[in-house]
Amino acid sequence: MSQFLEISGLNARIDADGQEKQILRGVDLSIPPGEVHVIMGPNGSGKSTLSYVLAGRDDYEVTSGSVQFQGQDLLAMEPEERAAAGLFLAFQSPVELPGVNNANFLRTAINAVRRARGQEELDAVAFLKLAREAAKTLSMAPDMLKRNVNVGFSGGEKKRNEVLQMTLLQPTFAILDETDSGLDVDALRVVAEGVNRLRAPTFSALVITHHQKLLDYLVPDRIHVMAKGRIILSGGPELARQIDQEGYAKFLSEAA
Amino acid sequence: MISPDRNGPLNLFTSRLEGITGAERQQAVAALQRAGLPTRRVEAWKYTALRALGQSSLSAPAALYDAKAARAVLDDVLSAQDSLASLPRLVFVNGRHAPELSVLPKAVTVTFFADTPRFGTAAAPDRDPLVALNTALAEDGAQIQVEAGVDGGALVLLSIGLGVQGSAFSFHPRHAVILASDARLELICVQAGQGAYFHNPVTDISVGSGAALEHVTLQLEGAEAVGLGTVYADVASEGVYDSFALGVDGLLLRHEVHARLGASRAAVHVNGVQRLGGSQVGDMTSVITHAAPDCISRQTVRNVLDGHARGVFQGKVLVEQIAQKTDGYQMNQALLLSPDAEIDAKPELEIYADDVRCSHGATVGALDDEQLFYLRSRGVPEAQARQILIEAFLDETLGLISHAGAQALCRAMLTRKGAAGESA
Amino acid sequence: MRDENQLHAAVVELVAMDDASIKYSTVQNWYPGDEEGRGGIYNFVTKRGACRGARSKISWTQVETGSAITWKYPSCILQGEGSVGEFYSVAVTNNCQQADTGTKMIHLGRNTRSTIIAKTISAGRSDSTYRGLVRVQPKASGARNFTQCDSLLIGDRCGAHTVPYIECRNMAARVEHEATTSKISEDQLFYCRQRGLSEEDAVGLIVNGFCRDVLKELPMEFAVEAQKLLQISLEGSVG
Ligand SMILES: Nc1ncnc2c1ncn2[C@@H]1O[C@H](COP(=O)(O)OP(=O)(O)O)[C@@H](O)[C@H]1O
Ligand SMILES: [Mg+2]
Repeated sequence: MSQFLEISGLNARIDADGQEKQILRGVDLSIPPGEVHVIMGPNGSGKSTLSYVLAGRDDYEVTSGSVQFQGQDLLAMEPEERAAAGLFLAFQSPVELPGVNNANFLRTAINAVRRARGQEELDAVAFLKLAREAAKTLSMAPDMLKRNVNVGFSGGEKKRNEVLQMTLLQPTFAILDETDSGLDVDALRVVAEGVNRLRAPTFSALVITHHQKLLDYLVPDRIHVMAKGRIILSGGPELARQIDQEGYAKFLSEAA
Repeated sequence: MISPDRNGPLNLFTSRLEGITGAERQQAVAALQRAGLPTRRVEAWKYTALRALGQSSLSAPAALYDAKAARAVLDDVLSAQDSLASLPRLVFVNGRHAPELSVLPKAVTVTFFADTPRFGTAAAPDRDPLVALNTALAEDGAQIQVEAGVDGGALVLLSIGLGVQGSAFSFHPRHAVILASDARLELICVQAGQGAYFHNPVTDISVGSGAALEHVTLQLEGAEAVGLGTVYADVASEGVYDSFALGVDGLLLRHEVHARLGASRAAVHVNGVQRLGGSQVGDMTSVITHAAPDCISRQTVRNVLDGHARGVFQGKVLVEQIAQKTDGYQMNQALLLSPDAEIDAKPELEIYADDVRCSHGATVGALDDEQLFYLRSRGVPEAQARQILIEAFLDETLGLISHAGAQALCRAMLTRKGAAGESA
Repeated sequence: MRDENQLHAAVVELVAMDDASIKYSTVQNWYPGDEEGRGGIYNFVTKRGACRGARSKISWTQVETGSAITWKYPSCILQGEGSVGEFYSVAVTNNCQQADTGTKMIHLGRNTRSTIIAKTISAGRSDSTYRGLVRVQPKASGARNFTQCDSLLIGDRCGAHTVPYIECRNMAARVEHEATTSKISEDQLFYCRQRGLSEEDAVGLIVNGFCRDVLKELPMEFAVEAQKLLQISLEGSVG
């Protein structure tokens, strides 16, 4: 059987003000089902780009390489098809949607995904019950559901809102792009618990982070270090602790 | 046959428009005869009537003028801001170059329209009747050229109007400012005078790629004068046209800017302040055309209106289909100081490109009672408190003038006007 | 029949006396013509309102999605002391439609208030214009107006225009006007699509959010209808 997620030779670039800028330069990464993998790496190394490419953002042009996701060609799918197939991205900086009610947005998203998965749609009552429960477990203020999506949310509230969406959309593969940055310890635990509740032999996650703290709660299976658009090093959980203590510099010079 | 009803006040010029020679001028006369001078039925002149031009025919100005009076106007301007005295200056009196009052600049090339008439390319007579009138009757004007990569420094262009008892006349200077690529210039245009006359300058501006022109215009015209200034500016790639107009004195003032962003990453600023009282009418009109992608336009205009004054703001931002990634911002605010003052505003967006960020805003209101009370409760007399708040209202906008001397001159003229207003 | 144009030229006049309040809601969905602009209704409508009485109120709410050409400027003459005029409008144009709509708020009496919220959405090769007048006369001390005009463009062949006229002859009045033009951001679209919405549904959702301040003024059953209409009118405008 093929891997759960198999990224090979992935190259991607962006057209920035008329100039082609190569960002991903041959990313190889495979994640088996049921595992939590971590990507660390200095700012600007391409971590967010990788997550956008996996989620199907089309301002990035994939110039070569492939991504197989549960036996499907991920790169050939539309963003919403990827979501329906179980891919979820918690954005590094979630955008604001003025005038769009959070609850309404969530329900529309959930039902779109359920429809695509051949599941029955949730009616308003069932949805609200579910959403309120989820919000409560994440210690979110109940009025967050009534507010406009991310509008006027604090950094922490935005991140919790991302985790709320993840909880409700029940992905099989979640990418968390620095979801822990700027969070206090309590919020950090909430995020970690959100991921841990989803953990199952059929669920994998790719966590982008700079800090060991989140990993204490998540207990990852493998750590990868990204630099200049490639994975330059992979190892067990101890690698993260080493980076936390010694920084990236040592590994970067070794790889060079 | 020119009918005063359909052709506006064109009949005031009938005899001067006869027997005009030269292809450009004749075309302008034909355009005028087709369209006439604007009445309020013309949308662009909805709020401003040229009735202020009066009933008598307007002749060409006399060749001789009162040299002492002209010197006095010059001295008055320089005394308000003495740092300007050291700058080169081009002085015109009743539309004609006055060499004895001028100090020619070194870093820029100046020729005179009277010697080598050139009409420029941006201002088109068939689109704009006041340009047509100017084209038909232009006598003189400054043609200022800055070579590529040269910093031309600051230059004062002073147009003095001297009304003559019992004589109605008009003058129509034709100026041109051409900045080659990467050139710079700070041009301070002061239109000052006394009495009655009609001043109808047209300025044709071309800002080359990477060039930057700061253009400050002060309208300090004679108390019974009509001053209409029309500017056409074309801005090339990465060029900046930074314009500021101050409307203070004159019976009827209109400052009209047509700025065209013709190549990518160009920028224009069309800012202004009007401080009017008595029965003055002041009009700030602009059309900013985004004709290329990635350009920026900024406009802030503030009006302070006292007495029976009427302020007009018409600002159109036109974004053509090609002009993706346009960034346009426009704000017009008015402070009404008297129950009989009036503001008419028409901020207009016309947009044909989808990937743009454009916004405009307009506000009208009086001085804030709470602020006024706060100042007074701290012991500031009411008149002074009002003055402080008016200055605060205008301060940020005046701060947009980069040239320190020009900014100081504007502030000095506003303080004068404020003092005159309080004593009246 | 469908290739020809039909004219709809209605006249509506509202008068509100002391303490009376009128809310007039329209959802307009006439045939807009085909994709090439053949056929469709010319919707030239005269609507005016007079708030004659003290504290009277007239509120116009409209959702204009149909017609080949719409010209419509419901007005409020605010005569009675403390009277209130409101105009809430959503205009959606697609294909070759043209909508030129707005309001006139004429403040005559003391302490009169007006609110204008106009949302225009243009797609296809259509043009949508907000054109409106706010006039404050010398006796209207204490008058207040707030105007918000927002335009959303979908695609690069349509136009969105804002032409407000503001005439204020009273220093004890306060007039505020704001207008913005933007497009649906790629970020917003992508965010929705990442959450599993189709592009069309995402646009519908964002457009509904954009119009919310107006839609919430509609009676409940109208609002649901209007939301569906917005979606239908924009069909085929993306992708
Ligand atoms: N939209 C974009 N336009 C221009 N450059 C971009 C864009 N997105 C990413 N980049 C560049 O690509 C590199 C990698 O960015 P990113 O993926 O955000 O890194 P990371 O998440 O590891 O900090 C950076 O140099 C960044 O500036
Ligand atoms: Mg990042």
